[in-house]
Amino acid sequence: MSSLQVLTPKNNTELAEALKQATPKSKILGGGTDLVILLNKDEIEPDLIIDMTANKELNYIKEEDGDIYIGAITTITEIHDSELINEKARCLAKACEKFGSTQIRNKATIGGNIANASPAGDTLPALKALDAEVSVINSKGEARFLPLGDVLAGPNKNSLNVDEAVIGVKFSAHAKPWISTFAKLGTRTAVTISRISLAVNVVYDEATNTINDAKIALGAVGKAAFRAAKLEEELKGKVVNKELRAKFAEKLSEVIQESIPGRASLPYKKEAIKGVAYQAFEDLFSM
Amino acid sequence: MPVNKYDVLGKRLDKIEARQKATGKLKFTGDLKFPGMLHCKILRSPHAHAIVKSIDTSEAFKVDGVVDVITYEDVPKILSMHQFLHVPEVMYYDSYLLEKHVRHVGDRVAAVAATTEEAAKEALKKIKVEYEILPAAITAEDALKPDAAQIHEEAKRGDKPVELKGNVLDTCDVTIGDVDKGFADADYVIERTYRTSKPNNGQLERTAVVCVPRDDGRLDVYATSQGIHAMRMNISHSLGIPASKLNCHRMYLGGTFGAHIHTGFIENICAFLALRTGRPVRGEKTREEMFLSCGRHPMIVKVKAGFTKDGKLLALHSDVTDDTGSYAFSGSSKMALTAGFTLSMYKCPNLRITGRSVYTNTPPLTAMRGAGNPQAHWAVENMMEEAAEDLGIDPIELRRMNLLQVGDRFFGQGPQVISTIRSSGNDQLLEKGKKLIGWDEKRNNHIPYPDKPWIRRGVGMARGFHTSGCGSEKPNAFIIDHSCATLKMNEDGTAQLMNAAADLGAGTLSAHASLVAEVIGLKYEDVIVNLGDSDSAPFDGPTHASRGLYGAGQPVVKAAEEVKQILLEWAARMFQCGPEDVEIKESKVFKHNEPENYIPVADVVRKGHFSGWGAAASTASVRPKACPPHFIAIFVEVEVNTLTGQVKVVNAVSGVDTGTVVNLNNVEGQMVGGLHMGMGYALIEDTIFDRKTGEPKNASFAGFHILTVKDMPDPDNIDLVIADTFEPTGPLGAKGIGEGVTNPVAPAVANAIYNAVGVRINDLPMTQEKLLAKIKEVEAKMDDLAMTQKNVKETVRE
Ligand SMILES: Cc1cc2nc3c(=O)[nH]c(=O)nc-3n(C[C@H](O)[C@H](O)[C@H](O)COP(=O)(O)OP(=O)(O)OC[C@H]3O[C@@H](n4cnc5c(N)ncnc54)[C@H](O)[C@@H]3O)c2cc1C
Repeated sequence: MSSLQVLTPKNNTELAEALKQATPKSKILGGGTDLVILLNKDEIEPDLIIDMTANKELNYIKEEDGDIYIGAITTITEIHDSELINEKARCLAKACEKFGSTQIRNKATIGGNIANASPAGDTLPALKALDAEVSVINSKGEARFLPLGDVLAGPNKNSLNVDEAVIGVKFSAHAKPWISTFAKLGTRTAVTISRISLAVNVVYDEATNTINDAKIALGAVGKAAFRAAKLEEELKGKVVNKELRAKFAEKLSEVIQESIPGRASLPYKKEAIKGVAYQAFEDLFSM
Repeated sequence: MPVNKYDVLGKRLDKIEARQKATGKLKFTGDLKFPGMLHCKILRSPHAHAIVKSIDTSEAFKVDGVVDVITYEDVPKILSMHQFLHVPEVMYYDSYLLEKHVRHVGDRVAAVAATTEEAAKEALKKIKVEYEILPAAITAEDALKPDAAQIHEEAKRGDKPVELKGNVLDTCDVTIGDVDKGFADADYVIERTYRTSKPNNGQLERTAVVCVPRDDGRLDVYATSQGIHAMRMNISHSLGIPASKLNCHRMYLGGTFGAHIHTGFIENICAFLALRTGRPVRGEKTREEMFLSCGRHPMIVKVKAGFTKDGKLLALHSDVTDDTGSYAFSGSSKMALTAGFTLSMYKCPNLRITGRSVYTNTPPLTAMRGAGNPQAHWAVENMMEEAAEDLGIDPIELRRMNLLQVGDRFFGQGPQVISTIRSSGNDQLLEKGKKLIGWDEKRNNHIPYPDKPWIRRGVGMARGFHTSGCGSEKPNAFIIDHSCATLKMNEDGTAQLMNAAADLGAGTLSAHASLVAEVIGLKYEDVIVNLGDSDSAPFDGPTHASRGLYGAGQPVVKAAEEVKQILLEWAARMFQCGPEDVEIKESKVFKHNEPENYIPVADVVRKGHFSGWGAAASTASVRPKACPPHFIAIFVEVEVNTLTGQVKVVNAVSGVDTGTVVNLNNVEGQMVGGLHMGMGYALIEDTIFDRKTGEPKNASFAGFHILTVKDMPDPDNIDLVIADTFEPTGPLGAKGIGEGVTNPVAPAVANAIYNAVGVRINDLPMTQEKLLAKIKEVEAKMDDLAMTQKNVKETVRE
């Protein structure tokens, strides 16, 4: 048994100090809903744990100059309950709705969901569809913004350096005419990891029933959440009707076939995505 | 809910231990601590099949806090079995405490006792083992192949060595009537193969044990066990020590569903380590270890049934291939039971069962709620539905016309355990269920949301039964079914019950308290049930087979009647009248029609005890002479998303024929819980092992999903129907309930899915993948059909 040190920085200055001691074996702790499981299973043996959750500077949801900022230790429950998020980034609020259980949502942090970089992480497609950038701090106290895609380095792998931590995430506010939603499919109704997740964020002109811009992201069907760029183009200028819904579903199915060719789950997922697509359309356009 | 004539029975009463549990005061086994206690951890094989070539424990001994490390070289050379509920003569003795020949991933290689759990874990890492890896057979089909590696080289059945050829440990072939003639006479014959999955019991409380050496040289054993006497037999046999050296304590259990019907090795190992070290030794399995030590047997069930054209069942042949895992914890009984239960699903003059029980290189399996019967139901109730369709008979009607009736012979635990049916609520359940689910309106109405035609609804049903205990008219040579109870009155008027039945969390001991209160005329609160131990409680078989109330309740009633007689006689002396002139109600004794002129029961007991009239106490012993079926009918309405294969049960009716209701809360709890568990079996539950390496793929609750409360129908959409029946052989008319309520659920869901989308999945679970693939297949066929029709039309037009 090796010894383990736990640091609990109270602010960003202390955090930078703590990060100075980090080695490749060290771990950063958010809500612990992923990390503690690995500890219990003896899959990791950290020399140092830096507990983020006492650093209340990182607990916020705010809007400034048209951008929304969320601190790294903000919990999934807090995001789900936020009026601001529900109004201007609804797909993220929806992603937090079906996330784990009440207990998990109360503990799990958005910083943890990002840093954990699970292909099935629920906030990730939503953040992708919001063009989010991740704010990272290092041991010198320097902060920088990285596009979310650059942080997600692979399944359960992030690109942060040993002496870096996620301190927040930002994206531009997507007020009306942007409307967005999130849909997921798991093996059961609740407390289920996504097998497919889908975030749809569109500029919708109610008067003409037309989609004028679109950001579509998929989760759990690739190494990391990703955008369906071609499909986004195809949606632009389209009238919302049943044909569009069917086409949207078909196209998403094609996207999945390109993303996970040969995977055992492909035959199921390429079909089931259609149900997820219909669910998203139902939620967005009541159809 | 039927009304009855009882004062205590049928009401909603808190379980006697409810407050202790709700306030966290009740100590479960895992909560126990003793001074100087050591912690045991087991080194488990990473290979599905291997021989330990060498093992070096020297480094492990050097870890701070390590007191003992044992391997197969140190344990008694006694072949053992683990489920002492069948008669020993039919059981398989095929394991040692620790093995040199390991037979599944997670099999026991070595054990450590250390002052802390951390030290014990650390020591495990320091044990060096060299394995010779053998080819493994992970499924029954693979284990049956002629070139499959032999998993066991030695085993005994009873005390006789078994000659093991290949991996088949036992077979069965029983015929009743003339099956060939039955099939020859039949107008319609159906033959199908069904497969079931391998769910884990998944009970909340993990296996735990603490063994504490006593000053008198004996050992106290506190363990999660469904039977303290069975556990005592298992441990004493495997350690080669007399039974009286062990005192097994009854503990409240946090659910078992059969997971604690056997000793799971850790109990025996801790007992052995406690005797070796002279210190208390505690062991508790991790959740992963739970997944590597129990579960429901997966089966391949072939059924062939012959009917007349009017739907009368003439012949039935069930053939069962039973995968028992790496050790035969239940002997070959699951094979016999799954096959045997199909004999009593319906009335049929010509019956045959055949089967084989097969070892595989997967964790040992055991009884899990229904003990082979969910598998039997899955096959028969799917088959009945297909037969009904082919015969053009309403599925409920087909079942109704083939029901076993009062007076018919009933095989409660396979062909050896025979009794006669004396109560049946089948007709009530079918009639009420049909009405409540809206059968006639809904069978042909599949589109609940016209703007979402991809969501389809359907209704379906299945029925069946489970045995209440294992009693038979004549003593049988298959299973132990015998119970005792001691009851004594205290000088404050309370009654104290001492028996050995286990309370699996279902409220069995509270039910026993209700029986005592009802029989004597005491207040429910005036009955105390001792947890007790095997030192003080008379013999009882373990609590399984839904026998906790029906079987173990019988001596409770008998003892209570005897104690009541004593109290009545003493009261009669005090009232200066005959015992027939007095009665007891709400803990008061009075002459008939003079309730105001009462003597508290406490005064009667004091008078009797202090005057030297004797002791108000009795010990009763009963061998139940029947194992009445508690009949069940399940109706469900499902919603199938044909785009994703998702199934939601939106409405359900659970109907039970449980005889007299003892505690309404507990009965309803079983009904809803049984529905939930059956739905999980139907839709998602399965443990997966790599077909080559035998590695577990989902040995955790993250990987092995159990349905959540959110997957259940809205509470308002669950109807609970309790038939108005009285079981003449039961304690105050009661039968079992715990297992029956799950048995028909999976086929009911399957039949509803078929009604909704015209698709049948014959192998459990009916996952989203399997369903969607089948739905697409059917849609493609329909498209083809539509295409052909269109082409035909066009050709005609041309
Ligand atoms: C029962 C259960 C259900 C779940 N359901 C879902 C679900 O539905 N959807 C879903 O997406 N996830 C789910 N999860 C996974 C988990 O809850 C999420 O990934 C969660 O967001 C992790 O956040 P956390 O704060 O608990 O992270 P932690 O467990 O504390 O950390 C996770 C990882 O991120 C690192 N980390 C944490 N914070 C930071 C930071 N600020 N900077 C750098 N690195 C950091 C840690 O070192 C660790 O590697 C579930 C987990 C459980 C146990």
